[in-house]
Amino acid sequence: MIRTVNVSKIYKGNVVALRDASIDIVKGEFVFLVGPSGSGKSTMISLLLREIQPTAGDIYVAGKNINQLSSWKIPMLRRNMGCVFQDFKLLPNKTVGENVAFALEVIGRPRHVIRRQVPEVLELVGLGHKGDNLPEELSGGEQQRVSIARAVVNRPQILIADEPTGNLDPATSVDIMKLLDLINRRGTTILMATHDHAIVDAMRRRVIELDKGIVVRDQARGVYGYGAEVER
Amino acid sequence: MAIKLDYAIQESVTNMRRNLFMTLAAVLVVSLSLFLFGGVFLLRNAIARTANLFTAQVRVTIFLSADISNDEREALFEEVNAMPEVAKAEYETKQEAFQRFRELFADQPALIENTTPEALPESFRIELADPRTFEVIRDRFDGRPGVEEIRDERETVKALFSVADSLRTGGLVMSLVVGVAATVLIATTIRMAIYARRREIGIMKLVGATNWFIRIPFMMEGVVQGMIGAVIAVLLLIPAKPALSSFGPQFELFRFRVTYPDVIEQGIWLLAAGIFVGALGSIVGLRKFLDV
Repeated sequence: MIRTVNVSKIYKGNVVALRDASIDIVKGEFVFLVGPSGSGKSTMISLLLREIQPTAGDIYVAGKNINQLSSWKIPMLRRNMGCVFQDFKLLPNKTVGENVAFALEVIGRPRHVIRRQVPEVLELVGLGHKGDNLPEELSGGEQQRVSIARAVVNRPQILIADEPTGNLDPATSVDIMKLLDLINRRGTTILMATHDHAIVDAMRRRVIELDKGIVVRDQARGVYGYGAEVER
Repeated sequence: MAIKLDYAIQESVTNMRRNLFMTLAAVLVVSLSLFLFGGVFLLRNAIARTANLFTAQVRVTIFLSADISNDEREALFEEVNAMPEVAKAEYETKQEAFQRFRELFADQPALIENTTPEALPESFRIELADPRTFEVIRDRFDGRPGVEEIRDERETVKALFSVADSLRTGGLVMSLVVGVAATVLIATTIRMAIYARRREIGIMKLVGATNWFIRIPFMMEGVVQGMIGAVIAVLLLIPAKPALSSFGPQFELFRFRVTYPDVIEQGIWLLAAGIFVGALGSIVGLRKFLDV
């Protein structure tokens, strides 16, 4: 579903963000991308969304080499990938329902589809009753649920989450992880960048660790750090 | 929460006002540039038309000397009539010349009283097939026996055409400069509008909105600015029309005829130019922003 082959990204001034990174994520997997700040997690995510292009190497998403994608096809790539971020990226002047509907409106979905899918997905994330609230009236955890709802309302094959629990307290984070787990069980492939030890250790999913731009570990049913490594 | 709401309202009001002023500025610069453009070209068209009318009426006049014999006169007249460049030639007697003189100076009876038909010269009044061929007559008849003087209005026509030409050039340069300013200003307002909505645009890109989907509302904004500017320019040109007409000399023959059909035709061009400037400005404003 997601495959990178010897991908390097070197920014201006010889700053190496990624070096020969190869990862291969199959359909239906739930993968953590871990590593300290500056290890290349964000670069990897930007590359997958094709916000930036790699210096070397190839990136395949859903079987397509996205480096060779002409720029007008990028929107089609992104419609296949939901995105969730640490700062939620909700529009403050739109209600929860409108924020989710917005994602469908801008890709030209017909109104009757929007009317059906938005309540459905709000129900899925447990916010069925908050559709008319403004984001600022919601707690951080609820706002992140809205952002998850927006990411999956178009039923993408892939969900990319960049530190989705970074702004949340541990208890709320656990709820968000339960929601992501539920979405993963419905068939969506999930790649989540994080440095939240507790979550990674509790979930026991595949872990890919980056350090200084190099893939230093790729472990099924892993934990966050080397020290706590357990049997496979 | 109360502070947050106050802040939000204040911010959005400030934002809107800033954008409103920028929009107003862009619209005004567009209308100014198109008004200049339109005014100069109306004037230029009027002068060109006057010049054309005038040229069509231009006659070359051969004044005959007082001592010319009848034979000489008839031979000359035949020669004039035989020239292919001559469309029509008329012989004007002293009496006819006096008639015209009286009409021309009807308001100055003293002048008429002191003039006799004998004092006025006989002449051939010649209409040319192509008004531009003044030279032929002069070349052929100047200095011939019996010919007193040859007069044409070449200098006047030349002057009119040169004024029309320099107006066109000057108007083009001026309009170009102001037009560039208008384009840049529209680009700036669009860029500010994008900046104000950059969060929204970022999310639109993230969820897979096409660039055109994002671009079109901003382009419409630019086009609307250009269109409003053009409409204002046309509205300004309509009352300016009499003023433009009075620009020229006050003789009926020379009057610059700025007509309302002219204004309407110019208006259509101005509208097209406004839309073009608006679209161009928004494309320039959008170019950098949608690269990702």
